[in-house]
Amino acid sequence: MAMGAIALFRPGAEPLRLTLALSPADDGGYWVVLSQGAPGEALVALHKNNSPLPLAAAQALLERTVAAKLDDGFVGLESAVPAVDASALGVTAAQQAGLLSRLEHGQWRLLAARQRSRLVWRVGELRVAAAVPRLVELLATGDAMLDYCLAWAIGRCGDAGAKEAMAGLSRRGGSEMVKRMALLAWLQLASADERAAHAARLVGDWPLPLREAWQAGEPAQLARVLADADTWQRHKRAEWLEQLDQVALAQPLARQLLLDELAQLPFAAGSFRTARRLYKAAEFRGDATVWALLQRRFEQTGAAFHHAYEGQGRYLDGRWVRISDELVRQDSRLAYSQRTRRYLVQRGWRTLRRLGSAGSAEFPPLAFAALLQYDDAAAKPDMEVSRSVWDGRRYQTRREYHYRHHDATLFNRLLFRPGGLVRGNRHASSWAADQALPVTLGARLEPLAERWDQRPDLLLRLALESRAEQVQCFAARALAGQPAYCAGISDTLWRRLLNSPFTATAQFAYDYLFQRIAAEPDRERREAWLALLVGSRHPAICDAALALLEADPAGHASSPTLVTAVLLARTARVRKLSRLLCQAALAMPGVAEATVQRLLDWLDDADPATEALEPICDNLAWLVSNTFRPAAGKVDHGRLQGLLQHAAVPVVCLAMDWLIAHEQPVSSLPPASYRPLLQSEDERVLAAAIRLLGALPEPVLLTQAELIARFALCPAATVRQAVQPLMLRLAGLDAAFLAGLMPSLLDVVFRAETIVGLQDEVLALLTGPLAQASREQPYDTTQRLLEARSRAAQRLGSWLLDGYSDAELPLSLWVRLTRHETLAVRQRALAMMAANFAALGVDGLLPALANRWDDARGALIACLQARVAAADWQMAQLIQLCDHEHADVQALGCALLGGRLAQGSDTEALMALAQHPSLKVQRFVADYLQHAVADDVASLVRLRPYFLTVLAQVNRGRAAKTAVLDFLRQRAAASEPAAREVATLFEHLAVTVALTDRAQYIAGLYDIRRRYPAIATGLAVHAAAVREVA
Amino acid sequence: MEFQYRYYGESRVSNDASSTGISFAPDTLRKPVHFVADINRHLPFREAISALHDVVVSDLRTRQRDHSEYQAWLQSQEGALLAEFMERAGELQGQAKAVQAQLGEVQRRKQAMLAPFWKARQRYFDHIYASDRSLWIMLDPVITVHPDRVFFECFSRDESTYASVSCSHEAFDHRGEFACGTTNIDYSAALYDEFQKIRDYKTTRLAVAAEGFTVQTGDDPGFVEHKIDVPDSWVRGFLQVSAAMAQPGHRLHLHPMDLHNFCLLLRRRKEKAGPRAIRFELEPGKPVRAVFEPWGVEVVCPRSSHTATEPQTIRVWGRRRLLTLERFIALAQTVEVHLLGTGLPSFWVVEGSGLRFTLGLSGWTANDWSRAGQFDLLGPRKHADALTREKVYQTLAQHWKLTPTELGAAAGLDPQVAESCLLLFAEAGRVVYDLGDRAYRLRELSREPLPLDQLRYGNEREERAAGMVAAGQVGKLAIQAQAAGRVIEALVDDAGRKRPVRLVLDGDERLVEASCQCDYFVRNRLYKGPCEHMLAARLAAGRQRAGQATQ
Repeated sequence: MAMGAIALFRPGAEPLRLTLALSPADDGGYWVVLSQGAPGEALVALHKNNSPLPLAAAQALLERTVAAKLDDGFVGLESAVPAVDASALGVTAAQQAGLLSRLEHGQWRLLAARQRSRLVWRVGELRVAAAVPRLVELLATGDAMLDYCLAWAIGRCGDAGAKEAMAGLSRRGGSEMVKRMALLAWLQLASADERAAHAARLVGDWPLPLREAWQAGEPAQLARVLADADTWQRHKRAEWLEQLDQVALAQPLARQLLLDELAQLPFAAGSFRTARRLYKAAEFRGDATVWALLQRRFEQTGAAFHHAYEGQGRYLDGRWVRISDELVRQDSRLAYSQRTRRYLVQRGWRTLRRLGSAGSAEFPPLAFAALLQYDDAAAKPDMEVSRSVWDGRRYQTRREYHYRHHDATLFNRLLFRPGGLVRGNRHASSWAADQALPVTLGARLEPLAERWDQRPDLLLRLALESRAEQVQCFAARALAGQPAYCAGISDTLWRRLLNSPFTATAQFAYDYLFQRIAAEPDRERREAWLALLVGSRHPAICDAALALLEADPAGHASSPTLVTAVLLARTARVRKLSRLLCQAALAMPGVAEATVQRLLDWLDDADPATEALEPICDNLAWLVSNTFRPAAGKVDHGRLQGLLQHAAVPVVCLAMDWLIAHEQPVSSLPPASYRPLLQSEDERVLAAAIRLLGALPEPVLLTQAELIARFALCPAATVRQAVQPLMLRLAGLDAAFLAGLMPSLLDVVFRAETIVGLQDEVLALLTGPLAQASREQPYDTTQRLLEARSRAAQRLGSWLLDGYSDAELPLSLWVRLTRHETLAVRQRALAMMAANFAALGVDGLLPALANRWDDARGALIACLQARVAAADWQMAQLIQLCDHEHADVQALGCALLGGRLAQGSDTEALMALAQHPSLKVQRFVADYLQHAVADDVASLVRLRPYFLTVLAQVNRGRAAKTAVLDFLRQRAAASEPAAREVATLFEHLAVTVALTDRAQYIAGLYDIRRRYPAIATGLAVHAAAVREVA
Repeated sequence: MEFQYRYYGESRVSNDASSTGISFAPDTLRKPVHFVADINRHLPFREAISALHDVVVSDLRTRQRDHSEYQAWLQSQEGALLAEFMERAGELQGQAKAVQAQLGEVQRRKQAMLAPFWKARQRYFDHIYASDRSLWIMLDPVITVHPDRVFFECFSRDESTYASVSCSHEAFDHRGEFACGTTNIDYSAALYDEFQKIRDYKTTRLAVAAEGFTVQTGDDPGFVEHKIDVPDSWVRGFLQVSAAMAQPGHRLHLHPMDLHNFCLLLRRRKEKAGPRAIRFELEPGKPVRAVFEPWGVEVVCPRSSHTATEPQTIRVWGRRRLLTLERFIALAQTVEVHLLGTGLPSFWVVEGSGLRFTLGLSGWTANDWSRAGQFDLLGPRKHADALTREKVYQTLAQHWKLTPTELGAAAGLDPQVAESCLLLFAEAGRVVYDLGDRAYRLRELSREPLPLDQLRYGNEREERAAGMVAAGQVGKLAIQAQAAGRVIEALVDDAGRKRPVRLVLDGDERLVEASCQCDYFVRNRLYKGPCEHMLAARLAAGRQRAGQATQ
C-alpha cells in the first residue's frame, strides 16, 4: 500500500495531477511511485527508482522529486496558512484608547444594549488585550447576547487571566449559545496540557470502535469506522464533528480529519447547524484554513430551500408548517435557505473588510486562505453573454463578460475595487466586466492594497500556489511593487516563478530578473540567473534569454551551470544553441567535465514524466558521442551502468550510447547488464541495445548471426535500421556469417508479408549490398523463388534469373515461367519456348496455356498456329484445347477440331466435348453432329445427356437446340431403333415443354408415329371435327 | 455471431488430362470427418455442386441504384435545360446548339482518348471481381458423411435460400474406410472453375481428408484460421428454414420439365409491380396449376400430382430463386415440392442419377421488417425434459438417421415425444430433416451449440409479441380478405390495457398500413418497424391461417 502520498497539481492551460508516494516492495525496500494524469482521467503510475531502496534513501528521493516537480510549476494541493502573530496585530494606540474609554463606566452607562454588544465585539475583533479586566467585570449581566460577545472578545484577546471566568461561564452561562462560546474562549486561553486533557475527555466519550480506531491512529481504519453505520448507533455524527474541532486544538491527526469531513459535510437538516458553528468557531480563532474552506463551500453550495418572507409556510411530512417556527427547533427538518447562504457569504466579506479597514494583521492570512480556495479548473470557462437592461425608457441589450469565478463574492470583493473593472449585482453574488479581464502586469486593481503590502510573503505564496489566473495576476502585480522583498527571494523560488504555468507570474519573474541581470556586475550571479531564464517553459522568456546568450556565446560557455541549463532546456530553440555552446565550452578548461557530471546528476533524478525528456536525451546522446566525448568518456563507468536500470526509457538509451562513447570498452560490461535490454519490448531500447552490441569486438559478434538476423527482421523499423549497418559490416568481414544470415533473409521473402515494408527492405538488401551473396545461392533457390506464391520471392527470383543463361535452366521450368508475374520473365520464357519448340513438342507446350496472362497465351497460341500444322494435332490434344478454361484457347481447339469433324474423323473428340458445360462448346458440338456421329443407336444413347442438357437450356442456346432437333429428327427418319430412342427423348420433353419448342417435338413424334406405327410415342392424334356446311 | 474455423491448408482441385482430384480441407477444430472415394456419376455431381455454388453466392436483395452519375450529368446539363425554358429560347437555343456541337466534338475526342483507359479499368474491375469473389461466400459449406449418404449444405448470402446436395454412397467407387460426422469445409470461388472440368472420361476423386493435419511435411501448408462474423439474422434464417423442413405441408410431384417451364417463364418476363408470387392452385384429382402473378400466366403441369384433399391456394414469393435449379433440370428425374403455406418456406427436392438436390426457400427473398411476424418457426413447441432429449440425441447419434417411429422404438419412447425432441434439435441446428428419406439425420451445424435464446427473436418486440400470443392476449382477431391482400384486426391485451390493432397487408403480404394506440407506434409510426402489438396480431393471424390450412 502506498504511504505518505503527496498530491501535486499543475494548473494552467494543460492542467496535470501528480501524486508521489512510497510503496513497500516485496524484499523490504521501497518504491517511489509517481502517478500523473490530467484532471478527471486515470493516473498512470510508474516507479521513480529502478530497484527498491531502503526507507531513508527512498524518502530522500521522494523529497528530491517533490522539489523538482515544484520547480517544474507544480503546486501542493494542501497548503498551510501561517498563523497570525498576535504581537503584531497592527492596531494603533489611538484605536485601543478610544475603545477602552468607551468601556469605562461613564460612557458604558450611556450605551444601549445593542451598542454595548457591538462595542465588545469590536474590542474582540481588534484583540485589545488591555480591555480584558473590564470585560470580565461586565460578565453575567443577564443579557445573553452581551455575555456571548464578551466571551467572544475575551477569547480573542488572549489574556490567560480570564481563563477561570470563561470556565465558570461555560458551566453557568445563561444559554447554550453563551456556554458554547465560553468553552471556545476557555480553550483558546487554556494551556496545551489543559487542551490535551479536555481532548482526552471528549475522546473518552466517543463510540468504542471509533475510540479504538482513533487510538490506533491508522487513517484507513479510521475512515472505515467512520463510514460504518454501526459506529453511530447512539451518537450524532454532527455533534462528534464539533468535538473533533476541539480535539484538533490538541491533536494534529484530528485537524486533517476535520478538514476532510468539512469538505464533504452536507448542508442539510441535522448537519448544517454544525457547519455554521464550526464556521463561527474558525472565525473566532482566526483559523484561516477552516474559515476559508467553509466560506468557499457557502459560495459553491446552493441553498436547500427558498425562504422569501416572514410567515412563509412549507409542506413537510404531510402538513404545512411555518418555516420560521421549524428553523428554531432542535430537530428542525429545514436548514440552509437562500437567506442563510447569502448572510454567511456576506458575513465573510464583512469580517475581512472590518479587519482590513481597521488595519488588523489578521486580514492578510484570512484573505490569503480565501484566495487559495479558487481553482480555475473547477470554474466555468470565460464567456460573453447578452443581457437585457432597463435604462429607464426601454430595454437595451448589453454584452457582458463573465469571467472565471464571476459568481464568487469573496473573490471579486478581494481582487477588484468598487467602481473598477467589474461590477456586481445587488447582492454582490454575481459580477461582470465589459471586456475580458487583463492577465498582464500593470496597475493594481484590488482594495486594501496597503494591507497586502504588509505581507509580501503571502503574495509570493499566492504566486507560487494559487490555481486561479486572476489571483496570480493580482499577486504578480503586487509583488512587482515590492523590489526590496524580491531582492531576498532565492534562486529556487525564482525558478518556480519562471516556470509558473501562469504568464503574468512568469512575466513578473522575468522582468525582475532581466533588470537584475542588466545591473548585476557579478558574472557568476548573472549566469546563474540566465540559467534560470533558459529553463523556463515560456517561449517568450526563452527567446529573451537566447538573445542574451547569442550576443556572446563564447563568453557564456565558461559556465557549466549555464551550459547544463541550455542542454536541459525544455524548449527546442534553446537546446539548438547547446551544440554551439558546447563547442565553445571545449576551449574552457574544466567546463566539459563539470557539465557532464551535472548531467549525470540530472539524469539520476529524471523520471519518465520529466518534460521533454526524450529530445533532451537525444541531444545529450549526440553530445556525448561527439563534442563532449573526451569528457564524457571519463565519467564513472559504474554510474553509467546504473543508468541502464533507469525507469525512463530515453535515459536508458542515452546510457547505452554514453557507454559506447566511454573510453572503457563495451566488452568490459558484464553481459548480464545489457542482456535484458536486448530482449526489451521497447523498440527504442532495442535499437540502442543493438548499437551497444555493435560496439562489442567483432570476433564475438561474428558468432551471433542468428541474433543479428532476428533483429534485422524485427517488426520495428527503428530496430531494423539500427542493426542494418552492423549486419552489413559483419557480412563484409566474414563469409560464414553471411552464409548464416542468408537463409533468414530468404525465408522472409518466401513468406506472406506480415510486416509492411519488411520485404521491400530485405529485397533492397539482397539485390544491393548483399547482391553477390544472393547470386551465389544455388539454382534450386532461384527456382523456388520464381515459383513461389509470394510477390517478393517472384521479384527476387526474376532478378536472379538475369544471372542465368537460357541453357542453365531446364525447359520444364521455362514452360512454367510463362505464367510468371513479371512480364520480362514471361517474355524470356516465351522466347525460350519459341526457340526450343522442337524439343518441347505440343505436349510440352500445352501446360503453358493454362496461363492467366493474355499476352503469354496470345504468344503461345500464335506459336502453335505457326508451328503445328492442323493435321499434326492429336485428338487428345485437341480435346484439351477445346476443354480449356480460356476462351481463346477453346476457340483455337474448336477451329482445329472443326476441320477434322467436317471430314468425319475424330468423332470420339466430339463425344468428349459433349460433356463440356459451356454453351459455346455445346453449340460447336451441335454443329458437327451430322458429320461426326456414327449412324447407330449406341451413339445416340451415349449422347443422351448432351441432348437433354441442350434441349433443357432455359431460354438460351436456340441455335444449338435447333441443330440438335434437326439432327434427331433426321436420325429418327433414318432407322427404327434410332426413332425409338428419339421418341423416348421427345416424349420426356414434349408434353410439358414451353410453346416455343412444343410444335417441333410434336411434329417429330408425329413423323415417327407415321413412319413407325409400332413405336409408342404417347401421342394421340384426333381427327379434327368436320363442320357441316348447310 | 462469430464462427471460427481452422483449416489445414486449403481445399484444392487438381486437374490433368486423365483425372480430377477434389480435396476438401475440413475444419480441424471439429471432430474428424473422413471420406475418400471416386465419383462414378461425374456430370450429375458437377451440375449439382455447381447449382450449390450458385446458391452460396446468390444475393437477390434489392439494392438502391447509384444515381450519382445521373445527378452529375443532370447538373452539367442544367444550363442547357434551363435555356429551354427561358424567354429568349430561340436565341439561346441557337447558342446552346453551337456550344453543344462543340461539346459533342470534345466529348468524342475525350471518348477516343479515354477508351483504352476505360477498357483497362474494366478489365481491372473484372480481375478484382474474380479475385474477390470469395468474399461472396458468407459461411463455408457444411459437409456431412453418413453411413448411407454424403451431403453438402449451404445458405445464401441474402439469408433466404438453403441448399443441400445429397449423394448416395452408390454414386462413389473405391470407397475406403470413412468416418461419419459433420464438418465445415474450406470453400472458395476458385473451386467453382475447377469443378467445371469434371468429365466422365477422367477419374474424379473426392477427398475430405483428415490425415493431412496429422503429418508435418517439409511443404507444410500450415493452418489457416478463418473467423467469420455472421449476422444473427443470417443464422436465424438458416435455422428457421431447417426447422421448417420438418413441418407438415402439402406435397407436389412435378415433372422436371414443369420446373423448366417455370424457369422459362421467369427468364422471359420481368415483373415491374407486385404481387410477385407463384400461386399454386391445388384441386383434388386435378393436375397442379401454377399462376404467375402479376401477369396471370397459368402453367398447368399435366404430369403432376399433389396431396391436397380439398381445394387450396398457396402463394410463395421469391420465385426467382428457383433459377438456381436450372443446371439440374436436364439430370432431374423427379421434382417434389413441399409447400408449408402462404408466405411460409417451401422446399424443392430434385432427384436424379443418385443425387438429390434440396432447395429451401424462405417465405420471401428479403426477410425485412415489413414481413416481420414470421419468426415463430423457432418457437418452442412441446417440452421434453433434458434426460429424454439426451436419450433421443444419443440414440440418433448411434444410427445417424432415423424416423421418429424408428427412434421411438430404439429409445423406448413414444414416437410423438421423440419427434418433439427432434424438432427441438432441428431448431437448434443439431439435427436436419431429410425430406427425401422422411427421416431425421444427425448434423451439428456448428462446433459450439448455437445460442438459440439470442437467435430466436430479431428484437425485443418480437419476443414480447410471441409471449403475448402464447399467453392468449390477442383477442377479437378478425381477418378480412381484400382484393389484393387482407386486413387483420385484433384487440391485444398489454398488461391490462386493451390495444386495438389494425394491419393492412398487400398482395405480397407486406405491411402497408397499420395503427395502434401504444406509445411506440405514436412516437415512431412504422419507421422503426411494427410495435409488439402489431406483431402479436399478425402472428396470431398467421397461426390461425396455418391451423385452418392443416385442418
